[in-house]
Amino acid sequence: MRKLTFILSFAALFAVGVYALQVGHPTRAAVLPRRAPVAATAAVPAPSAGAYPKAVAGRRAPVYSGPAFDPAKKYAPGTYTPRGFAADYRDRIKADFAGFAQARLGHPLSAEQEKAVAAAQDAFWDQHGPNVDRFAYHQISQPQFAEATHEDTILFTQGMEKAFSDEDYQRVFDIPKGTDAFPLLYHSKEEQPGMPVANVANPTPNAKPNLSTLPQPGATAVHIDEGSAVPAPTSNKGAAMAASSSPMGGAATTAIK
Amino acid sequence: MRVTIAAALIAMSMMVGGNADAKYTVSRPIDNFLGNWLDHTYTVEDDWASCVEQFGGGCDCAGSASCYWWQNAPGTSACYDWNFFNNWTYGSQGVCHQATNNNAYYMGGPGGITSSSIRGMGISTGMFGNWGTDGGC
Repeated sequence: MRKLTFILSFAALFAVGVYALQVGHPTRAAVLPRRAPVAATAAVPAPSAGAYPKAVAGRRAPVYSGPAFDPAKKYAPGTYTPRGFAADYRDRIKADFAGFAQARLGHPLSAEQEKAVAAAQDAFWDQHGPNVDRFAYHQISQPQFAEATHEDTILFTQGMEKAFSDEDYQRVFDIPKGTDAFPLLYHSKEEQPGMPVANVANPTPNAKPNLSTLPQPGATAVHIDEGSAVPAPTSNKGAAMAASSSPMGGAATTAIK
Repeated sequence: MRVTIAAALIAMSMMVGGNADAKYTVSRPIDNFLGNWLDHTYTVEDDWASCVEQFGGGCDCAGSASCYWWQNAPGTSACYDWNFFNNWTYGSQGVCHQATNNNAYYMGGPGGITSSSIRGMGISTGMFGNWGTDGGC
């Protein structure tokens, strides 16, 4: 009886594993019924095909698990890595931003701009990285981390201001030079540096009436039948980014007033 | 005992498989005393009453100038939703843009909110990249 129980348990676990793999497979996600896409309301630049290198964005990052911040140690500029970060996080960020800037500007960054941008990003993480570790290891409080992040954000934008003309800066960052980006990026009391993801149901459900209406297929809608191929692969983030061709990643967007 | 455990596991997997509700990735303008400069992004359930992910800010379109939203299939990866974001800290791994990007990626559909049109993504991408500083899942 015990042997039979063991065999049945093993079979059940195997079945659960197979089912989980099937559920997690991207092609299964692709055949789930979706509402037909609706054309975007405004033309905006889309990421170019080469903006997000597959080799950088499309694989699971090796995560740095070495020693955390040591205040007695001198770290060479451009090298500090907080614990839990991708070991190559600086390269990833630089590649991602280069693609983003290209999409916004319509052309790649010049070699001189790339250098200035990388300097701004490295300066930011040279200063912000240790703060991330200090906060993670409870050496500073959340308000202290927020204040430090504010200073680090100012350092970031000041560095970026050197890399772009006034016009291009506005096009890439959506704010004019000299604007403090911190209160814009960290814009609510729930959205402050050091706060965790709210991974539970909305603790304050929408009290106001939802003025939105569910999107309906429009005149320009393209119907996607169940089982049809998905335009962008979901097995590779880099490819998914590159395949995007509309504001919301190549598919449905609609403005709701 | 083992049979009970196995049966429970099967039942749980069926519950996951049966959760076929659509999700929405949403971007909306941040309206505050400073004006309307950047966009907040998040992911909501089909009923709009509960957030899948609200990495900062709320999940409310009401009262804002406009909402841009995109319907997705449910997430199908262990990296999706709270399994993935459980270890994230705001301002360390990313901000709302990176969180939504990751969620959108693991939801079925042709892409997600990974878009250069989201206002403020230049700042957040310049600091945290597309998928956050841990490189995504």
